[in-house]
Amino acid sequence: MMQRASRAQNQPTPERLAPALAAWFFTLLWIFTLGPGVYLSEPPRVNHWHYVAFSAVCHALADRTYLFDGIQMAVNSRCFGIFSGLMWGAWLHALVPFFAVWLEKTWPKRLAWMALGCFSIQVVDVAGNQLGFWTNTLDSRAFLGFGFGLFLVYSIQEAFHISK
Amino acid sequence: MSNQELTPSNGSSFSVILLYGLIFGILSTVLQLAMGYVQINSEPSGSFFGPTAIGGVVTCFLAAFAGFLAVRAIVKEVNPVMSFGQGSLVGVQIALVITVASVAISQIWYLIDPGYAEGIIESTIANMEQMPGVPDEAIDSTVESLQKQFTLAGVLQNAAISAVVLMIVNVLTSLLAVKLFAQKDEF
Repeated sequence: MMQRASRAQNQPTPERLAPALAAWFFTLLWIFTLGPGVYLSEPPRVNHWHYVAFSAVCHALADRTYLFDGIQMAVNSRCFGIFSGLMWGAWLHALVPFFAVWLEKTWPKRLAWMALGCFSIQVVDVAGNQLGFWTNTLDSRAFLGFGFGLFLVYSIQEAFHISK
Repeated sequence: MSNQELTPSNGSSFSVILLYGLIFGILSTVLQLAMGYVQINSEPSGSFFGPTAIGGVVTCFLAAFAGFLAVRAIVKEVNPVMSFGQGSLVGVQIALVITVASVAISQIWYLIDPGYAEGIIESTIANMEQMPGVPDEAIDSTVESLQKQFTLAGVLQNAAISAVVLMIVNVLTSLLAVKLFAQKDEF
């Protein structure tokens, strides 16, 4: 294990830089999902750029969205979970690179199928809630979304490597 | 399989991207417009979670997974070999096609039915008036921003901003499809 860790640390800089840049990128994206409450004290207009930016991929209905400092976030709780999962997955990959390599060698494509499985769980959760079988909460949606984001970014970690 | 057969055929790939982009762009925009009519014709509920909610959820899924399905179609029908770079490009292109299709359809629809924008604004006001503790200033501000949103400049500005996130999400889902369905291309 120690050998693997030191081998990863000895990798040429560009190879370690790409996953770190990806992690910073997803962190920036995650900060944007927190909404205008990060820097505003009063609730902004409904078409503030934070809300518009994510509008194509997230409905961000007020009832289903966390507040940040009293102001509605830019995405709903499920999408916040997904973007959080993306960020944590990217950092995990950047900081512990040998774990990603080991996973890929041990279970090729399995993480990608798990990501797809997590997405199916979102669909089932939305349908079950709408049909009245159960009532999901902000936290349960965020938790389920987190799993999808984590597996999604981790399954495609090869994309953040620079080819030799 | 010869090397020539493994070389990506950009022309065919682009026609798949165009087809999927148009399909998903039309579907999501039509769904949004339809849900807008449901909102206009329903009684004000005093809640943001109205009849448009399900439409919103379906639209999200459609827009986010267009890249995934396009990559799957390209890999199945055009070329089984695709690199992560090519997959990312598919995600970016499909997001652009969806955005352009969405802007074009919505603009045409606003010309066909000029009362649509007015109906959405009025139903939003009616809904907000039912909510407890919403000040008049908030309603006025909402009306003002909604009016801007329905102008050509507003539509283009919003489309440009939302296209960025749509691209990012479609790149991610495209990469997932590359991982699942494509044969590896190291170059």
